Amino acid sequence: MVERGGSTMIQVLYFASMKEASGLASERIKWQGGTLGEVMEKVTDLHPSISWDGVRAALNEEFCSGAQEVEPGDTVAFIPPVSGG
Amino acid sequence: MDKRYEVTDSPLDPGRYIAMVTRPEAGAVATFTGHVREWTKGRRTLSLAYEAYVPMAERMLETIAEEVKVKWPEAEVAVGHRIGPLAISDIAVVVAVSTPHRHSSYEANSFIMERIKEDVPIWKKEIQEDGEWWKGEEAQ
Repeated sequence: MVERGGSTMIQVLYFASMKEASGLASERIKWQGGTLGEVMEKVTDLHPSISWDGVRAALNEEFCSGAQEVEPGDTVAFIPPVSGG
Repeated sequence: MDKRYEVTDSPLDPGRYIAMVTRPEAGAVATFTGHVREWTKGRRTLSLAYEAYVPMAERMLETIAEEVKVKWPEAEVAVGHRIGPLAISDIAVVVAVSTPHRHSSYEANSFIMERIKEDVPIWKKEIQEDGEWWKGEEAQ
């Protein structure tokens, strides 16, 4: 993966119940590389009140699994159970 | 140019989505409109608020339309979903599907709504008389 623009950060997005639990719609987190699972551990450290029940994750707007590598410059979004329609 | 797969905070006009899929080959246009319901299992909803991860939601709607094309190659699809605060009976979602004949337009339309409820990053907050919560997380 090419490191985008020499960034050393990732953008993390929170929605619905997770936005309320974290008190944030988004934040930038310093990131040297690692898996999505490691991003979730970091987010849990930052926001212990977040519930992960049924939460999926998207990397750069695509659903992905916890083993996925997250690179600096990426955007990770946490997707609580959806309820559109 | 109108967007075929759209998440918007403006009121939805079903006619716009119908127009986007209308064409000479299509003898059928099935249009579903989802509205804000006041009463659910004896509980009264005062209003709703929808939130979305807009760019991903629009991409997912496009992905779902591609799935439709695999199952019903002759179908054309347009979908609009509204976000923000909505009142009772407001339209939350419009799904318009055109096909040469009617059966596949019904089927494809129903398929799209099921897929929206599974995978499109949109969330509904119910504001009821006794509190408010994100749908899917309420105490049943």
